Amino acid sequence: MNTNNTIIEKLKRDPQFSSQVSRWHTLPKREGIYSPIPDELSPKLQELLRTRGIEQIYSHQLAAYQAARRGEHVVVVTPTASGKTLAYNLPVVQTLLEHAEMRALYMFPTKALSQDQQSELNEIVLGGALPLKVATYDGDTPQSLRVSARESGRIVISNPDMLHAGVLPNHPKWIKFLSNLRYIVIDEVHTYRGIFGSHMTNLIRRLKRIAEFYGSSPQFILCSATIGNPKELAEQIIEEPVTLVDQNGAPAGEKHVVLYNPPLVDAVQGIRRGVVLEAKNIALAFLRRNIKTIVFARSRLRTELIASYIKRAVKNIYTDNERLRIESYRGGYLPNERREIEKGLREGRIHGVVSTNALELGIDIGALDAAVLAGMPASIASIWQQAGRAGRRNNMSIAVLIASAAPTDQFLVQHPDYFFGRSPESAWINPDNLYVLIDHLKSAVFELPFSEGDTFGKTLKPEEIEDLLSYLEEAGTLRKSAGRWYWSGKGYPAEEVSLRTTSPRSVVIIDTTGGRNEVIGEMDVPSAKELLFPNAVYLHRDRQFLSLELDIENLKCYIKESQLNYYTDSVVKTDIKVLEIDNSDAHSDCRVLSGDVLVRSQVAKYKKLKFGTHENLGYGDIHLPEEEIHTRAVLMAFEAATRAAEAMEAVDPEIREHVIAHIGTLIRNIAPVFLLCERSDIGIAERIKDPFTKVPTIYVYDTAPGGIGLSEGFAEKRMQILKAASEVLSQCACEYGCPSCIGPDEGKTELNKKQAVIEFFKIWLSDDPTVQHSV
Amino acid sequence: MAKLSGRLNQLRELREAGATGSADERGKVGRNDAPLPWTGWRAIAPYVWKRSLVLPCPLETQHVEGLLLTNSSLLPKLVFYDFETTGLSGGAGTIIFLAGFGRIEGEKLHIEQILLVDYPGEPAFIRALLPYLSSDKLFVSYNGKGFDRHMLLNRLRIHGYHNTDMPRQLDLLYPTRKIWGKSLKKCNLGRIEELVLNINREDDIEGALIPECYQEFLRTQEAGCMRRVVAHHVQDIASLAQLLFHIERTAMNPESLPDGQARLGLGLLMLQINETRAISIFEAELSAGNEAAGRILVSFYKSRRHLTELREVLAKMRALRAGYFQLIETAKILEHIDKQPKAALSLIQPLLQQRALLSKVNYNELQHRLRRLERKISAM
Repeated sequence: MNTNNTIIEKLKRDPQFSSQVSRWHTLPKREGIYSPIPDELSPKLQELLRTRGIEQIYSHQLAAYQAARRGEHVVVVTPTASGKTLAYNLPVVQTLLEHAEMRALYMFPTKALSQDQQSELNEIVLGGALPLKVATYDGDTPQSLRVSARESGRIVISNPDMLHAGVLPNHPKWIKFLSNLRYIVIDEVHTYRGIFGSHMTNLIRRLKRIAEFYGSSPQFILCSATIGNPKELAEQIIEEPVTLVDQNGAPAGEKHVVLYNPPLVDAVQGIRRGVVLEAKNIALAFLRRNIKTIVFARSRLRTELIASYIKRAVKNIYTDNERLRIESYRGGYLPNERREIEKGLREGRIHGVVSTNALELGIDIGALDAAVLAGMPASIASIWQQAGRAGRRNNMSIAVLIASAAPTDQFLVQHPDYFFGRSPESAWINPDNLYVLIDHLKSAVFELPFSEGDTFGKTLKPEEIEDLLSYLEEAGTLRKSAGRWYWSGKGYPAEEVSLRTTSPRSVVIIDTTGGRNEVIGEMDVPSAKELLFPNAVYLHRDRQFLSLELDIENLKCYIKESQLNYYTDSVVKTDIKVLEIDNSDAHSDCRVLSGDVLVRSQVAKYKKLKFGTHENLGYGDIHLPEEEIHTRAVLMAFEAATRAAEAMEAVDPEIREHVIAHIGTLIRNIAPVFLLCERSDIGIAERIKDPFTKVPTIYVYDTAPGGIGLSEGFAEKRMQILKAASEVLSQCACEYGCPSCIGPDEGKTELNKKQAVIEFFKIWLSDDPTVQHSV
Repeated sequence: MAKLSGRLNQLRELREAGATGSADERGKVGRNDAPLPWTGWRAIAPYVWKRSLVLPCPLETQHVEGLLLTNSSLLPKLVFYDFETTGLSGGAGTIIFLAGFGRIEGEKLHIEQILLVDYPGEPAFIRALLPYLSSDKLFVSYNGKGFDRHMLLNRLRIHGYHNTDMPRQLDLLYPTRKIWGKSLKKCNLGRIEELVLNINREDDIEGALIPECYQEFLRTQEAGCMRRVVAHHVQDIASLAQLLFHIERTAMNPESLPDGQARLGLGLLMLQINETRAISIFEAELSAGNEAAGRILVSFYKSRRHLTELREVLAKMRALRAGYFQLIETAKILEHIDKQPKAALSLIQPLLQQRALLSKVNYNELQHRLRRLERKISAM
């Protein structure tokens, strides 16, 4: 596009902008690789493709088609807009046309994606009058349509939550569908990682168990965005060997990827211009040239801030706000609000959107030309997905990646080779997380009794399953009789389990402004404690609210509109108790233990931060009950005769406590880059004298109950992470510590703590030949 | 293995003590044969017990004719049935543990109850139900269409009986609601027994407690509250028979219903099944001053174009009170049948004067009618 070209040239020539760019990377235009439409396709289907202008298909679509038709489970890795829907629709529709009794299940992670898919499929099916009934079956499906979806839907589109709580527990009603289930399509498989992915494996275990009961053994076709290990993830989720199709044959336009580090405003304290303002300025430059732009922000709060700053900048009643419509988008909005924004973007009525990662998924919002990342998402895979939101078609596009002060961002922006040279991270899951497993075993027994020796998935031994079932029997949830376990609990186990969060309960947010009583959104309980505590300032689209009351027991939060000049940020306090250590290794640098811990955390205080300048206006207290989780942790104990102990000896006793706290902050900041997780997925606690190890200790733990493997991952990659931490620290431009490294120096001593931490790392990592120190 | 079981042990420790039964109780497996704790029961398969009871028949069978039972040849086909289940929310994990079937033989109500005394007996239990499901029977239930039938279908499917023919269903909930719904609001069987059938259950167990009671029985294998469950269940089936015949008797003798709303309800039920006796009920109600009955009659006669009767009803209604409905309906006859728009207009005009008393819809409707009448008059 012409305008794109102009602004790209202009930005390149702008000295102020280009001096802050650490790498300007251009991905050349790529031609497509095509294959003829397979001859064996039914003439009707061929004709239909041609009427839609498809004379040939991409090479990866053919590869997926052939593998699926050979009967193999397939995972197709596809960037945005590479025609992945055809990759699975072709084999499924063809097979269903050949066998009138066969059925297929399509699963999308969100309802919005299912709706997109239904309209896409309707085009294929209705457009050519193919005799295939496509039905959506989710929470929004009216009761009157459900029976016909079950009885006559050849392709049923649903989501994991519905499968979990609606379909499987009522499988006798689905007998026709399940006995003839031939294909299961799982789209956006990369989103099934962490706790969601761990649930997903167990859900598939349940589905396969019921399908087997009715005599079917469905074949899987999965689609994933680019991640490091799509095949492994797919195999972990379906627990079957999977054929990988990852040679993308779709064409792509030229793409510019710009790594941008905001200028330093205070070199001494290492303070850079904030991402919020930088993102606003860059996005405005695009928007004002009529370039459709998406801004990704790292949090709900920042999403609202950036959107309101942009709106304020274009606000002008004489020009109808410069004829630009900009919206914010995030989880927590009501579904119809979200649908309206998506539609506005598709139809071009909305020119710009500021979003959390909620729009990272393949929701159809049409073609955008520019993406601005206000801070880097925690994984390289996510960065590429967000950047990929610009340039769906053949035109030139640009993505500007703005580094925030966060150490991970600074690490990436200062190491562009690392960023561009590295393949995206691997996604991993822990299907045998005890909590997740127990929840699904309950549902599985509810669905069909277990016999001694029955299996559940491929990783667990029958004895382990028996052990778990006996545990549930002791709790009175199951009854064992004549060698089988039967459900004997109350109610309906799936109802108590949410696949998305570790906490199935969510708080309803009620606006009470001027006597209103209107629900404007909802939020899970742990997040509500951090964002909706009494007196919290809560931002929702254009409006600002003050939380009046957070009623955790009744899951309600009452808010009213406010006009305060500050926003709030909560401070969480944690306490850890070791339950059991299952591994303890003495390394030369410190002792590393891993085991189970009980973490109690409490939101105790909040900060008031001024809009615009973000200056701290004071603190307030929060009185809410604590959260308690039982999870996995790794402990680094600075035991006598290790290098860490030696390093600690060298630190002035007056600041030892600060030093260990700063090291904790630094690790917490860096580790997510190596663990494909969000910053909030891991917790860190530092103790100068730990009651359990009796020596200075740093804990790294999973914040999801039962753990999703991140603490184990940390133990494995520990040296890499510590090395990266040490590099970030010594390369940081600040003098006394800043948010980009060890956190700002808040103490009041004469000693330079940053220097002390650098010295500490020098001794701590000194024996490791891979570590190089640069000061 | 060590890891997983170690973690399980931590969970066990974290779990509050005392929340579980003793290991002893847990270990008990249901008896699959004699000795039985209660007299009258016998084992018909492992874990499946059965008993037969004979109760006096709650009706004069020869009187049956007509409303729900179209003729007395249906009598031998009637099966009064009810299930007790391990939960109320349905789903594949909820099972039927007690099934009861009642049939009328001579002057007696013969009830057979089949009890599943532990889960492993479920296939045999389901097998034991099959002989009852003959498709020429008429299955009488209370909310059977909404619950029991689905439960049964689920269990049959799970046990491999995918295409079992289900008997026809006569669900008494619907006629009961039609007759007594307006006056009683809630129509659960307990309330109907108490307020309509005059049945007082003694030492009854609340329905919601039954699943828990069954679990206790499984754990302890002691009769305990299960005695009350099986007695409750017998009464449920007996009540079905009583209710059916109460409805039939009431249909023959509508005046026995103490309130007008119920009498109208009965009439509406009769209308629904094309029972013309309904008309005499409405006529009687109208004569007794019930305007609502008049409205039903108006729409009934209108739909059949029985104009003489229609005029008579409107005249009777007028004698009661010349309300909006009566005036409008009379005006319609004057306008469309008698072709006297002026007379129709003269009825409507005073109504429009009382605008404050009219709803917006009625007012707009009147305005519309008025304009049409004026057009017709001026065209004359």
